[in-house]
Amino acid sequence: MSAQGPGTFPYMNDTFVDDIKAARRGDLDAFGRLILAHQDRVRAFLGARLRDHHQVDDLSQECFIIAFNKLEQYRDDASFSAWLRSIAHNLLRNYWRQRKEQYVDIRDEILEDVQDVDTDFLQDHIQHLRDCMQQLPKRSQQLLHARYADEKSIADLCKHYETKHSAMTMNLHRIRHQIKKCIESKGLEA
Amino acid sequence: MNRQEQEQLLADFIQGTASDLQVAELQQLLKSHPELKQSLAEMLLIEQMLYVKHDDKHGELLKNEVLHALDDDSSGRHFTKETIDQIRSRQQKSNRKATRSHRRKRPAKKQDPLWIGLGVAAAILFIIIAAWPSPAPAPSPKESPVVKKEIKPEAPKQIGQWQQLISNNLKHPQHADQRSTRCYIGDQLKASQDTILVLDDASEIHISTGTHIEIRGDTQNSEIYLHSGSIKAQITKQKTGSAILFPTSFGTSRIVGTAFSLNSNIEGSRLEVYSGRIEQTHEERKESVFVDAGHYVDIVPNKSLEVKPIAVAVKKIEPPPAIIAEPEPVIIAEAPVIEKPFYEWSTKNAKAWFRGSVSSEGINSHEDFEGHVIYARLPRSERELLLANDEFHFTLRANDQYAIYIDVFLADQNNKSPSHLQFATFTVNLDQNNQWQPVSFRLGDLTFPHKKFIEVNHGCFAIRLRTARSQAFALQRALIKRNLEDK
Repeated sequence: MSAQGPGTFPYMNDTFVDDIKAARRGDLDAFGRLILAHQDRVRAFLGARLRDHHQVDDLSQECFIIAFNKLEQYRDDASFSAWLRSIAHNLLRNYWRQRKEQYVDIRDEILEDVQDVDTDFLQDHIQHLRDCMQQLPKRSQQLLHARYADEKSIADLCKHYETKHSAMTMNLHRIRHQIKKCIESKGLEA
Repeated sequence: MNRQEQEQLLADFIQGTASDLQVAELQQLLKSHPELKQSLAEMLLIEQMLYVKHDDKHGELLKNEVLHALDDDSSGRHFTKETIDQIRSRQQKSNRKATRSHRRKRPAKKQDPLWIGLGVAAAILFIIIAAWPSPAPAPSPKESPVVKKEIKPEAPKQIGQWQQLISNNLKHPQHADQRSTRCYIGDQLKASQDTILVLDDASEIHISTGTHIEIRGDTQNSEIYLHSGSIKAQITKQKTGSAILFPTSFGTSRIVGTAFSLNSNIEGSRLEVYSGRIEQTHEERKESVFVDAGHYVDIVPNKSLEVKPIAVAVKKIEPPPAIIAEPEPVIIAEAPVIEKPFYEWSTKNAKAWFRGSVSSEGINSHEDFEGHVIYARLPRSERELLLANDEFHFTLRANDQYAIYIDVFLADQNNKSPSHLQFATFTVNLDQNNQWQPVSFRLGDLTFPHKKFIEVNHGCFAIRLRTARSQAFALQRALIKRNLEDK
């Protein structure tokens, strides 16, 4: 099934099809496997458009709940990830609409502004992320690890690497850019 | 702005380190360079993927952590379980609702003696068949026709029955999911600050600082075990036959709908009832009493339960504020004398006004902050907000503890596109008495992360106040327009 992508992704196509069928019959264990396989994408999609991590979790959960309840409407030949994203996108719109009634923050405005930007290609090939990270220079890998695994602040990283704040943020930005390019090229190859 | 500067701006925004000015710049940039939106969206996605993949994964090598860990991802597993439990919970609610609806929709038939006779005969026949000894187990009764999907046995832990409104920062609860505001049966909470637990039926339990509770029970009965500390609660009337139990190590209070407080320490417990009636049992002595409103009972070892009237002084203690009717509007008899010009507006309970300067470090040269209020909204809580001279005045009710966040925004003349400028937080601790407490503070006493504070070359600024008691009280906003022409 196109939703999963061949090869590298651990959640294999046959399992996916079986789980979809079972989930439609109400098998929550099967749906649990679907959540496990897709939650990171949904959370990333929402996380890229929201600043509040609690909200990301809540909307992600709501997204899967809606998906389960509307599983009959999912077409088997369509991408499951894309289908989930469309649900998440609608939830996001509702969220922004409600939030606007309360107050507006310019940062939120920017995030809302980019919510309609199509990142599907990147997201559909995000399974290459690991390979792309492995291709990075050792130093870059260490930096990513420190930032995202150890959750070091930029200030701490600056101190550790003896570099300026702007240089550090740019450095991380370039690494992310490299990863993006790599994912895109691998996506095209696939 | 050259390409490198644009990239820097994007990088800072993605990392969350962009200043307000930079954010405003970026917004303008995105308007003039829409192609940057794509780049920003993609970079944000990559950033999030990197975080998601490293969520709760401290100390392990990065390269082993990506994508393959879904099956043994502890956070993922919990998330899955939480979601599934939520679905189960909703399914059951839905089925119950459907069943009720099914019953309601049954058409009322006109009773015919013949039908009654047939019905009685059928009932007798059914009883005989049912009572007839059978060597094989009877087949399970057929599922209700409204249940379409297979319902699995209930999970031992259920979520969705409880909601926790974080009234403050619960740093270290023994909580299954610290990120979530949901509570689960089996959770233990050691409140580092005052906390409110809101059940699905809108019952509220106010948990005092230092109190240790444990949420127990099954799908039928709910229990809040009070290990130590003190709680006050307003329990919504429960369904017939249902109750919420509040056990301590000395006894159990059975609540079907009332307001009460319960304290427990190593010597014993005390139950005070403000309304309704509560059945209290003594664990050791195996006895129980009913405690009516205005009475209390001590549950201590080796002493029988004795219901006593609450002393007059204690009687006056009101239930937690959020769970009783709104008190009478506060009348501020002697409002501060403020010379005109000032600008005022009214809320439900009081007047509010703003005048003069906002006193804060770095803006002393801008003491001509005479402006007029163009917007004041106290959407739900209707708490008073007075802006006078360089002070903010609130009136808050007793028994509450608030963390108050102050956000300051800039906006243009038309009050559009306000940009977040400053942020400050402080906590107000109020005395435990029945009086409304006026609170005031100076902006200058607050610590803002940025020194620049308010740039007065903008049209107006907004001050948003929100309490952390719950999102229901999330916003109290006043926009104060600075009249540039008067400057």
